[in-house]
Amino acid sequence: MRNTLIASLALAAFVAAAGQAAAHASVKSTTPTDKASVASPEELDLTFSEALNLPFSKLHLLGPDGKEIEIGKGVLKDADKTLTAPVTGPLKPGTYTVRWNVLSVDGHKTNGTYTFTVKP
Amino acid sequence: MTTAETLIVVCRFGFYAGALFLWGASTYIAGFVPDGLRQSVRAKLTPIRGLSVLVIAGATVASLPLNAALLGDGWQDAADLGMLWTVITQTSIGTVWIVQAIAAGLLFAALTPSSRSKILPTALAALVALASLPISGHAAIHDGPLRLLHRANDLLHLLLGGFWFGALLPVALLLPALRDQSTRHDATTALIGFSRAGHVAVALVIVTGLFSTWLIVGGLPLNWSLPYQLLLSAKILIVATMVALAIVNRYVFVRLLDRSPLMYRSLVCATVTEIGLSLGVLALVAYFGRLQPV
Repeated sequence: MRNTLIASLALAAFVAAAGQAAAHASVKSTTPTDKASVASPEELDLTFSEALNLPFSKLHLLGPDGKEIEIGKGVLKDADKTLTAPVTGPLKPGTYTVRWNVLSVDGHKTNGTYTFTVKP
Repeated sequence: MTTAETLIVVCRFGFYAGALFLWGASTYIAGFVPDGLRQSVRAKLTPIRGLSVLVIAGATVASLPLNAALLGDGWQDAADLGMLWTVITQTSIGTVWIVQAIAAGLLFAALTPSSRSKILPTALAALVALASLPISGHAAIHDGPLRLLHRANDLLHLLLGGFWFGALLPVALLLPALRDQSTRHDATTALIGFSRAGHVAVALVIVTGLFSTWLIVGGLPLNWSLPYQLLLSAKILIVATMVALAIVNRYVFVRLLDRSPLMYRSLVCATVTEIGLSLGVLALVAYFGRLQPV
């Protein structure tokens, strides 16, 4: 009885410590950060709540005029949770939009956007 | 929902129903139906067994191009071999698909004349089919040991729920044997076995289901503005109805069986209703399992 109780408590503590996973991939952090004013970045980094499958996970960069700007091929790091793509050439000052479209290991596709500003 | 999404849900329903039925019916017949009745029950189930294998194979074959269409840029990707290959080799959906394709192959192998009369090959192939399910989906959202725990919990939920669901049809087919003096004893033994194992299976289905809900939603699914939580609540309500019906079946209809022929009819009716309700549960999961839970 006592052992069962201890085991249940241990399990509960373990699960509580592991925290609630947000199901379906969501963005946890980005570089540049959302709505930040930065110097022209060399790469875009998006860290998600879940691991991703690369072939169906893409980043798109839209310039101040709304047109898509070519960026380098995306790669995964940090146990496949961070999607990184190099920015080719310096970006002119203005507000840029990053559009992401990812497939997470749970088999679900999600997408979203965020913006950052390149300082003059 | 787009057409591809609707068809994926249909495939998921077919796969669940087929695999859970084959698993539950085989383990129940192997474990609890006495030799005297085993062959006759299996013979009666032969058409539905063949149908289940066909449905599983069809759902598996169809789900690959459907997933390619959903992951890629629409229907042109459903027939693009490069795209299909990318899905198979580089996504977790593809890993699930490989295991399901193997399971479908094993199920066909279990239908060949040399193994047709054995129960074990079908049970094992159905186990492989069910084991494919927690590889992806919401059981995959965690890291480290919690992911393993969630997957093990979901597999246990499937195996126990599958036992309950899959045994219902053989149980319904065994009920007429109660009225025949020559088979009454064996049928009683088989039904007592279902009742005993059923108590344990149903209790653990509820425990593993609640644990999984807690891992995915973080509590009870009471945020009904989210379709996932609304439909999960509906599923829980149906399961509660099934449990209530099972209790009435076991503790009212069965006890009064000898007193009135009406009880026998109620028992048959309740068992068939249980099958209908469990198909409703599977349809709900096939749909809401793809939605955003929180």
